[in-house]
Amino acid sequence: MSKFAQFFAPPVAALCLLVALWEGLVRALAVPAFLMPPPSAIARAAMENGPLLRAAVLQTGMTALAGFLLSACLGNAAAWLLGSFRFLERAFYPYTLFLQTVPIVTIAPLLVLWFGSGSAAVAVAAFIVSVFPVITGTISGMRSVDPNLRDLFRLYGATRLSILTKLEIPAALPQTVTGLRVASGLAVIGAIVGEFVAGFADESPGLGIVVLTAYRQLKTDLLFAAVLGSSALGLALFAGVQLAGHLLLRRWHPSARS
Amino acid sequence: MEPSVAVRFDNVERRFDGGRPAFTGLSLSLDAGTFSVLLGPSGCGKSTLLRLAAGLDEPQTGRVSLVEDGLDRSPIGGPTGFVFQDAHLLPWRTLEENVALPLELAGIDPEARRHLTAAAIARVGLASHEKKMPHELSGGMKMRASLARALVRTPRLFLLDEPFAALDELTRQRLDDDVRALAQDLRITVLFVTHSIQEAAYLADRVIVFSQRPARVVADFVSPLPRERTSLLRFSEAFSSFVADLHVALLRGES
Repeated sequence: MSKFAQFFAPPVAALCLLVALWEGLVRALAVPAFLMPPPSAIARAAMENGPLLRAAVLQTGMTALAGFLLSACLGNAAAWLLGSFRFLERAFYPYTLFLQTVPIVTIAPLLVLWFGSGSAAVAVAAFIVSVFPVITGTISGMRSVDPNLRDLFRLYGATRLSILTKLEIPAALPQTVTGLRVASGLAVIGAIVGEFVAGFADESPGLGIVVLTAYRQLKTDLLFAAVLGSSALGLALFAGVQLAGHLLLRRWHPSARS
Repeated sequence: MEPSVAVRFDNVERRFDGGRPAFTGLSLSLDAGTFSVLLGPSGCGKSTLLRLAAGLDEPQTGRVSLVEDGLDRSPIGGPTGFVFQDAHLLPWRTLEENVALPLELAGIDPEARRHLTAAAIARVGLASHEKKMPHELSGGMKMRASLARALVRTPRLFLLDEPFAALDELTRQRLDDDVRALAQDLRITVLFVTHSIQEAAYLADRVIVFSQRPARVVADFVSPLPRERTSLLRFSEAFSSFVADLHVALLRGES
């Protein structure tokens, strides 16, 4: 068996088994479709609503990506600044915890007030939910730099900027990538939750709106199809970050070489 | 070739967080162009002395200075090369990029950087390995790369903190030969820390033996061995006798 088959065979087999079990149990126990539709009904709903779901995945994907890119840029910039100056870290880091602890649904109405209903507010919601792991990942990477390497840079008269660009940022890269991986999944969650409150103004409804509508109409099969769409979106973003991380780290970091 | 520098410790005291002092009232003078070895038990403060000489640490009292052309100067930003206990190469840079780092930080232009880097790499015998990443190098090669990085700016003071302690005996002996030869070629002042009596005896023009903390100088030897050292010297009577003298001095420091 090829390595590819060896890698994929167990999860594919497990999935087939679970789907067969689900289909069999739902049919055998005659569970109402609005409570738990069988996988075959979900597949049918996905096919019938293909254009709607594709457009929703695209719409949510764009706002999640925008929020994620904002997190990657602003989160790293903030981490480099806070990680470079202890007094800034002491002053501002506790307030970044606000981003981690605040439930996004509670501030989504504010986002609508500030950015209007639509993609901008949704992207900001995705940004707020996903930026914290980027900041903590990068700061923690910067803090873990070997003190002897810092001494080496001091010995050679390195400027603060050189220490940041030639030592701290590359040394923190593995943790930055880990933070971005976590952020990629959170950005999709943030975008969908943002859509619950702010996504109604978009021309093409996002996955959050499809989920809400399907729920209100008791179209549970479509709801499941939308959930699978969100999951696929999260996986795609995660895989993109994973690939970028691999390309950045493969020359030197054990995690990317193995 | 630029003249090397002398190192002077005047009545130096260094203590850490209220614990036992590493040393108090320590005065020591190391002549320019000599190879001095600091020998003592682990944790006695040898590495701290080295960090003071590099300007990486400061004494609570007393003064550490480098003497160049008869003038005293602070060790901070001095013409110093430092080799740590581990190679401490940046894992995301090739060997060549690691060696070039001090030149890059000093703002040397890329053309001059390339020449100086190639020369330093050739000097330590790694000429065909420039493009390798640190994880592709053996322990001995990493230490050679670390030596090349310390030498690339042509330092006049070369500080080595137990650089070969983690290597196997033969590699260590080979690298000792290389360091000794480099120091003689470049006529730089070398301060080498070790807790190996054999290594100290083989390398040094002068061996300063320290006691346990708070460290004090228990013996100060000028090497009786010839200036030219080869591996065969390790089997000579003079070498054995010098090793025995150092051993006795170390034991005296422990009592």
